[in-house]
Parts: sequence; C-alpha cells; structure tokens
Amino acid sequence: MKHLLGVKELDTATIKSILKEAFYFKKQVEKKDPKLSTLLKNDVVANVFFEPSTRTRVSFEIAAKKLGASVINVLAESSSIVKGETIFDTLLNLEAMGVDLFILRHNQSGMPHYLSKYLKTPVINAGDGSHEHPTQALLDLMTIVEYKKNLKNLKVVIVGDILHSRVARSNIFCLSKFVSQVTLCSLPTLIPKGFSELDVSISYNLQESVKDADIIMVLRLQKERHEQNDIPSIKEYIKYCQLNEKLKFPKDALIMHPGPVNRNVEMSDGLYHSSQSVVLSQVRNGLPMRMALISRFLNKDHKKIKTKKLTAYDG
Amino acid sequence: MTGRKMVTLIKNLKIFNPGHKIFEGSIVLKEGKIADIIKNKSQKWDDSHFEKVIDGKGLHCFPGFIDLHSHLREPGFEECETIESGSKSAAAGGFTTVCCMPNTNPVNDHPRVTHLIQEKIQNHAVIKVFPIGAISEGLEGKKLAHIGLCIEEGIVAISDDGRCVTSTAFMQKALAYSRQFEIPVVVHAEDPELVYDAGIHTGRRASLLGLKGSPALAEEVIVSRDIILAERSRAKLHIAHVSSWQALKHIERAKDRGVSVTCEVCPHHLVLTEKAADDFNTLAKVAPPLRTEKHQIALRKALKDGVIDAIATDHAPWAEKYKDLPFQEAACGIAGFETAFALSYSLVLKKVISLDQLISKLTVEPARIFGFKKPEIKKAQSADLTLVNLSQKYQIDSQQFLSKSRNTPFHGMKVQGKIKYTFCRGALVYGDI
Repeated sequence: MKHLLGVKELDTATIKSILKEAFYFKKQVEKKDPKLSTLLKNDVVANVFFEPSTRTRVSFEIAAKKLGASVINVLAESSSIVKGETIFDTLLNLEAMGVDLFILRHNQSGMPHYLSKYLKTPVINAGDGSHEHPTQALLDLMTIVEYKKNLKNLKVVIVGDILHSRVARSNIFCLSKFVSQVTLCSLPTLIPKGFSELDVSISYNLQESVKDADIIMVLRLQKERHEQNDIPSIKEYIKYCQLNEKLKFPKDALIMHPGPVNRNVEMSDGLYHSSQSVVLSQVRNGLPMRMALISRFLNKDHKKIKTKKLTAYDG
Repeated sequence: MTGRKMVTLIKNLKIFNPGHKIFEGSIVLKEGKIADIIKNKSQKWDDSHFEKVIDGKGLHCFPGFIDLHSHLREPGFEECETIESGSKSAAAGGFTTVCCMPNTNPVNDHPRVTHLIQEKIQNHAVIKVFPIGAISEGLEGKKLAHIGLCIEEGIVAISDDGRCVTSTAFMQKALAYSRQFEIPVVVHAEDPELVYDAGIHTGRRASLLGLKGSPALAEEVIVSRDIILAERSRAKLHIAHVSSWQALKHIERAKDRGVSVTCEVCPHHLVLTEKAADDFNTLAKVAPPLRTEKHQIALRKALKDGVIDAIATDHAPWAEKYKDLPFQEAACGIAGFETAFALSYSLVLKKVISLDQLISKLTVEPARIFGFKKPEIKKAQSADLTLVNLSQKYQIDSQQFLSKSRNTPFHGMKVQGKIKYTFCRGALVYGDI
C-alpha cells in the first residue's frame, strides 16, 4: 500500500488484516507495552488539515505519539486555485524537511488523490470533501466487530445527510463487503444521485428502516444545509430524520455516530447517552486503528506483528 | 505564399464528395483553386509539367473539414493556444475551416476585438478561420453585444459558449435580434444553477467520488427552453455539443415540427463515457460532461438518423497549469482538433455510420448550418482538400500535437485513419511526411 486514500481501493483481505492489527495495538495499549513508544522513534508524522477538525486530528496525533513518532500540525484555511498551488508547495517543503507520513484533510473531494501523485511520502486521507474518510469507516467496522459476533447477517442503516457525507461513502464501500444489507435513510434531497444503482437499499421512512436494524449509523447534519434548500429547516429535519426514543428498533441494535454530534438534532440526547450508543467506543477504537495504519506505513517490523484470528466475518 | 501560384498535381487519389460515388483520379491545383480533376486512365500526364507532384496512392481525398466549434484562445490565453498554433493544429486534424468562440480576453463582443482577431487571422492563420461573436457583453448574459457591428467585421455566428445564457427574457431578445441578420445563435446548454461540479456527469460515479456534477437535466432544461424561444422568434438556433438523450428528444421533436434548430456532437462524447473521469482524471473533465453509455448510444443513433447535423470538436486547449490541478479546480475541455477524425472514423469502422455520413457531417452539413458555400471537390472551387489514409493504424501521441496544449484523454489510444495532407486554398498546410 503506497497511500491510504480510500476504502474503495482496499480488498477484503487487506481490510481484515488491518482490523486484526488494530486489535493487536488495542491490546498492547491496554497492556501498556513499553516497546510501543520506541517503534517510530525517528519518524515525523505531519497532520495537514485544511478543514477544522479536533477529534480526527487529535486521534491521529495521539496514535502517532503512542508509537513514539514526533507530530507536527499544519492547520490552514481551505483552498482556492491560487492556494491550491500553495498546498502543493507546503507539502513539498514538508517532504523536503523529512516528514515521513502525511495525514491529510481537505474540503475538496479528490485533493489527497491529486497531491499524492506528486509525493514520495505516503499519505493517509483523513477526509476529502464528500468523498472518503477511510479511517473512520475502518474504526466503525472495528467497533461493529467488537459488539457483533456475526457480520454476515447484519442489517446496517445509515441515517442522515448522505449527500455530503464522506463517512457514509467510506462505510458503504467498507460495509457492503461484509454485511448482508446496507440501507440509506434520509430525505430525497439528501440522497446522492445514482445511489439507487448501488447494492444498497434507499428509504425515506426512518421507522420502516430501523425497525429490524442491527446497526444504526447516524450522520452529522451540517447546519447550513437548510440555507442551500436541501431541507426547509432543522426542525423539519428533526421531524423526519432524528433518531429518538419514539422510534421502535431492536433493543440490541448498536447506535453509532462519527461525531461530533449535534445534540438533539440528528439524535436525541437520551439515545446518545443510552446503553445502545457505542459512540465513545468508536472514539476509543480510533486510536488503535490509526496506530495500526501508521505502523503499516512506517514500522519496518510491521509484518512481524502476530495477530489473532477474528471469527466475526465468517460467522 | 508561393503555394498559391504553384501548379500542383496530386495523383492516384480516391476522390469523394459526400453524396457521390468514390472515383479514382488526380487533382490539379492552381492559384488556390482546383484547376482540373482527371479521372484515372482517361489521360496520361507528364509529371514534369507540374512544380509539385504528390502521389496520393492509397489516400482518400475529401473536401476540407469544417469545424463549427473551437477555442483558439487568442487574445488572452496565448500560453494555451494562438490563432497560428490553433490553425496548424486544425490543419493537422484535416480541417480547412474552423470557427472560433468568443470567450477570449477580451471577449469578442465588440467590433474592435473582432477586427483584432481578423488581423491575427490574416497574418497568422494557415487555414480559414471565422470568428464567432458574443451574444452578450462580457458573456455576462445581461446586455447585448455589438452584434451587428461585429458582423460587419466578419463574425459568422453568435454564442456565449462556455457560459449559458441564464435569463429567459434576455435569450428571447437575443434570438429576436439575431433575425435582423439571419445569423445562427449557438447555445451552450447547461443551466448553471443546476451545475454543482462542472465537467463531470451527475450520477452514481460522480456521487461515489463525492462530486455532485452536472446533470443531463441542466442541458435538457436549456435546450427545451431555447427551442421554445426559437420557435416563437423563428431565429436560427444551433445547439452546441449536445450530450444527453433527453436533449436529443427535444431537438428531434422540434425538427419534426419545422423549428429552425440544428445541433452538433463532439467526438469525445461519441467515444468516451463518464468512466474516463474516474479517479479524478482532469483530462476527461469537459463541459458538458462525458455521460453514461445510455447517452452515448443515443448520440450515436442520432448521428446516424440525422437528428445530429454535424460533428464539431469543441477544441479547448489548456496549458498544463490549468489541468494539472485538483479536480474541482481544473479547467473544462479537451484539445480536440488532432484526434477528431480518427475518433469519429471509429464509428464508421464499427458500422454505426457510413463514410458518406461521416464526411458530410464534417463538411457539407456544418457549411449548411453556418451558411458557408457548399464544400465540394469540383473544378474552380477553392482547393480545400483533406487527404486521409483510412487504413493506417497508429497510436495517438499528444506529444506530437501541433496545438500548444496536450490536454487529451486519448493519449495512447490505438486508432485508425490518419490525416496525411491538408490543402487550404491550394497551399499544403499540413503534411504527415
């Protein structure tokens, strides 16, 4: 793997081994393995974020630091044609200074794909526009594997602003390799054109789609959506798309959210804090997942990591 | 130019005028005109009577191709193309007449700009180049350009190409005004309010790339609107680079009821689909975008059935700095002159259209749309000729382009049908020797 730009490019076997490695790192972190912090002693990881982010950036930063790498953060305003050239120059300069791995986030779809063509240094996509957010999808899968014994028969519902969600796309690419059914539930204006041709179900009725769901993945609503007439108001969005206690869904269904949550918008506060919510497990798993991925690119002994079998995929 | 005075003999040709039979013969060029056409075996010729003799053995000779739609970028974007380089590129593609769009800098919306372009054409173009004037000042769709005065300076049509006229009221006035001159109004049909990401087709593939794209609907809405307006005003409407089956339906129905509407298709829309833009390939970013197979099949059928009148290149050269960018920042367009024939000829090889249809959509039909003299290989006609080896196979190499720009998604593609010589006004303006 030269870069990690998207889940789309990953085959099932690769995803499985990434997951096993993530569980390995999770265990080592819990054991407080002293060797971890020496693995990437001489490496420099650059978090280059052209879009505001706390969670993802910090998660990558802690992951890299737990492996002993030094981390620099480059935070910048997003681009225009002129600044697009500046981004490129910035990265070339950082590369010349000896950065070993780029973690890149940008508000334009395809930006890491463009930049990585010209970089010798590996790039991990930490989110590009509405396109992909591969590490989120992988940590989501890891979380599902932790809670559900058998992936094959799972019904997953992704609820919310699918149109603008890179989390949704990466999860569609990822989950459709493992689970039996993926349903996208939203309002008609928030479903991307042509998605009905994919191997997913599309629903405009939240109650219908969650009634037998095993996983309910709730997406963040970007608040300016009503200004673009995708929806009339947040109030109306809440009426048709909010996951709350009034809906009937299985008691063992997992409720997930990539964060940050708009409290009482896409999800009621009660459900957010309920025992079915695994939102904090997702955040927790982000760390070993990102350690595993950073290690893949930088750790010379990565291939020697001994991982255990995971039975969840095959039932 | 010495070529105009020279007497040239091109012998052993397969001469073809659209609508007629191919015959073997030789052509004598003198003072820019076709001085004689001699059917083979009718007479023996002594080569020494001619200053220049070209053996056209194995070559077809067609009337010089005409392109209604190109961007020569001068004035304003000379790093991408100039009238000189663009006309040489066109000649290499077999074109002897091209029309250039007004979206230059300054925009060709004023007689002074037209005059300047005409001067450049006089001094630098190796083939016939006709400017197209703007519909609106600055292509802003608000105030009519100096259409009449630009016509005095030689524009042959009006268009805001690259931009779409958004206002229905403004378009209605522009079409009505055009009737004063019976000049074609060329429309880039893509409602900008429906275009979220230019240059990529709205649908599954774009959606998976996280792009909203430009839907077929954006074309259909404007095509149907402008047909209604043209029907009322009885103006001459020409739809540029039609790309969707829905737009074709509207055009077909309008033609059936006698509306004066014509349309053109670009080779890239006939040959490629949206797949070419996967992986954010900016070389396949073009407006209107490459669409799905369903649209492509409809375009091919419409070309065969005559709903589509002409093939035009929409030659849109861009220097690397405009294309080697993240997808959303890259410019739309394909440098099309030098690949147009071979790409279109692939449809003849696939038996989608006949050779007669292909050549007429590159010659007689575009001439009819813009009211040019009928191109014909005939005694006393301007010697505009394109000589092609229809059986030669080769690989497209953008590094060999005579255009200043290399932006093509066709680099490396294996094709058949090579332009060997292009004559314009009797002068050899391109030779693949």
